[in-house]
Amino acid sequence: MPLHIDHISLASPHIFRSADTLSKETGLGYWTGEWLRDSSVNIVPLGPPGNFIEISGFIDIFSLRHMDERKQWILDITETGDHFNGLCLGVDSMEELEAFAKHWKSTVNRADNPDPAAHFQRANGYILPMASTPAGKRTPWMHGLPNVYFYPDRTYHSSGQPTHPIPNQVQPTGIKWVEVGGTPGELAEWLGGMRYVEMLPLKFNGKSLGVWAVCVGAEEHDDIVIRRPAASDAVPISKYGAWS
Amino acid sequence: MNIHINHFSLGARNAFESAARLRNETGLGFWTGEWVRDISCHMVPLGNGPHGKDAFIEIQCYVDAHAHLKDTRPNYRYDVLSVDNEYNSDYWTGLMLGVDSLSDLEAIAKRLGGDVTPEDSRTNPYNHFQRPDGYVLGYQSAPRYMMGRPAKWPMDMPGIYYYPDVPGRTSNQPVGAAPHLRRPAGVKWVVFGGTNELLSDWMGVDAEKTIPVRFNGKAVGVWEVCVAMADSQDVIIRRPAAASVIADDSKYRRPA
Repeated sequence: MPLHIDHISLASPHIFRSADTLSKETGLGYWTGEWLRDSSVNIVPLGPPGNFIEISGFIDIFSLRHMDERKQWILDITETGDHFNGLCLGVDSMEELEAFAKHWKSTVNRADNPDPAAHFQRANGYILPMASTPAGKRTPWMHGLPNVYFYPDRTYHSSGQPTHPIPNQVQPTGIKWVEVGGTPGELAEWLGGMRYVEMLPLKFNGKSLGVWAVCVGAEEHDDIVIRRPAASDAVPISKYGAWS
Repeated sequence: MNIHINHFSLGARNAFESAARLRNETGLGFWTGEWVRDISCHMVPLGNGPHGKDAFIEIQCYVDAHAHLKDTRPNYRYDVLSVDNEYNSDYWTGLMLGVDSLSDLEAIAKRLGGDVTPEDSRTNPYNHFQRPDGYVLGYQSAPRYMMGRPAKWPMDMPGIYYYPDVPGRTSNQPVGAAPHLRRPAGVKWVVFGGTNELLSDWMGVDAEKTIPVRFNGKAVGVWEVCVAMADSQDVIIRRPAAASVIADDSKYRRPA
């Protein structure tokens, strides 16, 4: 696969309530138990070739005793409910990932960081090896912009794990399109060329940057469109200035 | 009336971390995904209870940051978990006893001067434990004190529970696969604070002769749980009782 969509992050004030609501709304199942430091993600697989929505939120509220910019952003964008807060792209090699890091004059969050606290951990003890770029104190998500991931081992990719069974469950057949704010030109400028934008099944709505909707195909079912406001609708990206 | 140990509540800042650490410490597996109101639970079945009514541990943490930030009322459990300890601030936050019928539960509630919680799991699921598959746990408990807990009873005396659905019971759900799991074979004993006289007065029977409990005379609440293992030595789970770090609980009591 060339540059592709890997997953979409949905910030939630209560990840179990949000997952329950989304499953009842769409028939999409989810699995639970993955966590990273003060947050957990409930994962909604979207079907082949391997995409998912991660419903993310705080599960350690004591960490809020030591507030920082990222935590405040998460609080602010979930104050009024769920907001899509991250478009997460994927590449198939470290070389491609490093090329993006170089383009952004950044570095890579390495998959082989020996500190388990730096990685997603699952209920079965599995630690997810995942590399991403750009690295830095501020995620590009706060600017409504995507980052890029590379998984050295996709055997246990989040999209392929079994969900809890849910009533009237539908089988997703993959992302059909993702609606994002801004224009193709703005995204091309961020990614380093229009050719990257053309690799992605995106629709642009001209609103503030970020994800606004995800359309998923499903077996024997109409396409499922999941609409939530982008994080930039709650906290304008202008609050953070230019990405650095 | 048959009174047995139904479950234990273990408060954690991060139940995900706490459950993984407990599994590494003991080999006890857990399952995830159940939640009630602003709390998520990791569930640890303990095996070999009477008639399929195994005991279990519910490891709880708060998952609704906004609800917490907006709540201005004194929060006993939050204040307990704010105190550092050697277990990443895990504290035993409850011993829950079980009975086998609603009439038994009503009799206990009446004796303790309280009510039984309503069975409104179908009309008000948000107040009940919910699972991802849509199951809502329809249990009832007592005593519920709408006008304040009588002053004679400390915080953290055991709640009494009636779980009518045995197959759907928390302890009868499969734990997630994980390396080096061990097989629990039931609760052997519990160390509880206070005295046998106090707990017996609460239970209406001689506590020591009814459940496998020992007393250490410290703050009321659970201090240790010993779990038999079918495939290896017993394990003892030691965490401080919640009440051990709250010198004065008066501000947490609802006015009578």
